[in-house]
Amino acid sequence: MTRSVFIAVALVFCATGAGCSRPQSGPLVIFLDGAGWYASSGGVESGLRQAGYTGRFETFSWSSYLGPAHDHFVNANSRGIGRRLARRIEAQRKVDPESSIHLMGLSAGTAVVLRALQELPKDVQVDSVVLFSSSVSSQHNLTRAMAHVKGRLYATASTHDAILAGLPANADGHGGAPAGRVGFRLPTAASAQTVEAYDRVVVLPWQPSYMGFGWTGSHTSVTDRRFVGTVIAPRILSHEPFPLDRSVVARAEARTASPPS
Amino acid sequence: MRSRCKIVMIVLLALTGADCAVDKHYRVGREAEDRGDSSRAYDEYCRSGAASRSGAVAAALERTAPGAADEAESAAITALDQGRYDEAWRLLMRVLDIMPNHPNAPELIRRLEAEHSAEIALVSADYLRRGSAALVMSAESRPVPATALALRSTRPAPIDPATLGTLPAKSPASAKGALAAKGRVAGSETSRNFEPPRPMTSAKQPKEKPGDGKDAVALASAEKPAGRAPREMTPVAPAKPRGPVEAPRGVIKPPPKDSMDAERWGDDQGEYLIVHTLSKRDRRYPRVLRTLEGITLELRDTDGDGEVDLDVFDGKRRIKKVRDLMPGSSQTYRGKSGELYRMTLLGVHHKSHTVRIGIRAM
Repeated sequence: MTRSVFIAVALVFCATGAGCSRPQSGPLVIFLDGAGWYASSGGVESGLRQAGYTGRFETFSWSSYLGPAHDHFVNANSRGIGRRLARRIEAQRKVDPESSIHLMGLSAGTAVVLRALQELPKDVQVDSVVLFSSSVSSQHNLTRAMAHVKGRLYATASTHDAILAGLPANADGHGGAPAGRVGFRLPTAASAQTVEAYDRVVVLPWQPSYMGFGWTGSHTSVTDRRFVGTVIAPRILSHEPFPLDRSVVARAEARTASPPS
Repeated sequence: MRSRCKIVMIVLLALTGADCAVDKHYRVGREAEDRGDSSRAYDEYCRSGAASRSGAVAAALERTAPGAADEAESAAITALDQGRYDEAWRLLMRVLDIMPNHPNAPELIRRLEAEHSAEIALVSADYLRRGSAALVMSAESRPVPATALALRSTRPAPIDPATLGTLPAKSPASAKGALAAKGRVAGSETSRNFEPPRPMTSAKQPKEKPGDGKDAVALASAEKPAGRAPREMTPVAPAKPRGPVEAPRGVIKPPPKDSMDAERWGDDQGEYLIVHTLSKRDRRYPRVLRTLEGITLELRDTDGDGEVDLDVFDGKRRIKKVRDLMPGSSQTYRGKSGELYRMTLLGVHHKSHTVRIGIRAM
């Protein structure tokens, strides 16, 4: 009996303690898993380490442990959880204003990431954001969130994502196809501020060559360590813009200028 | 009942046909891979992967990606040498598309974009219009660069030194700027790192008489049937110097008049900071050699087609695995200081597994 109580207390302690570690100086990656899915952080961390990342890697726990549906429909859009993550980022910035902070989320975890960015104080920014198989709407307006991103926001998208194809509603509550299937779309009649924001948003659509790095186009294989280490890490660990990247704005302009034959 | 049967038959036929289409790309890729054409194999596997996301295709892509990236990089460097900056840009983007973590391609692309923006404007706009996914898959619709074809399909013919001056001239822009060779003299560091050819210690090795450089050739001739000329290393015209470069002091002087006649390679023209000879069988030359900035080259193998496998190490860490490098092709690597270097395979003597490699700054 005592043993069971001890295990239960330990589990509760672990669950509450996750994502609340004390801020330390140095580069930091904060990763948020998907709804009811707690297995992706290992691959992401391993991929980053393989690519030479030596900073800290934290998994921010936002799950209710009541199953994927509850996480997706309730927690992902919770302002309280978003604020909790925002406070974590703010605390890190206070401890070390110079070192990089990278935010990464999978599926519904990306809704929490975007919510947290919107909740950040005006002068606090993260360095980059990576949204894996995002279950927020492709029409989600990123302008406010991007004001708190110094560099670029990368969003992976795959039309082969069967989980997103079957979603009855997006994690952010907005309509339209999920960004994890079709990428983010530049809002119509966008203001100058919005265009500036989307000029730093890069969609990484699935392509067959990514299969060689473990991303088969499915929902969770995007966090394969080889894909993270080979495709994502060079983009976020370098200060220079990645040559292959073309922002949502640039691609929209190119489409308008000369429609593909 | 009959109409149902027909529908079922049609569906079955369609399904089998679709499978055949998928298999066709995979099969063609497999054949190309068996031929050693990684680039073509990679493209075919990509086409196969677009239709069938199977584990076999994924494994094939993983297998062929390094070779395909190497081929594109070699062709890109050749295009750079010839002043075809748009083609070089496209090929370097292909390198990145195949291997996004390629250590040197991003820097080369940035330099090209900064120094030759006008030349690459069209190809860049085309890339933007097609989207980042278009590079690999569009290979079928694009003409294969002539240089790449030449590198793949034919063994370069020996070049008379007199004709070297008639090689295509490079853009004047290449004479200056970051893309130009820096014209550095291999200084004390080169000398310190340089490992001279080891003296022959084995009794089985031919003894070289002082002043009689014909011995090596004579020995090679003795091993062959009478009347057959000794097989020489396949010489390739090295790229023309991009600027005034002083004669490097670190150049390895090969034994005079042996099968690797240095003058035929233009080594003393000073276009390489250093020229190394590595061999697996000829004991006069090392198989593993420390070169500039503490980078180590290790010769793995040569084959009858003149292709060479070698590894590049920074300390104990392998930073590059070069496979099927053709004579005349180049690969890049980064020194400890962050400087970009290119190594060009100048020649191969397959029988003795001996290769000659020139290194210079990018």
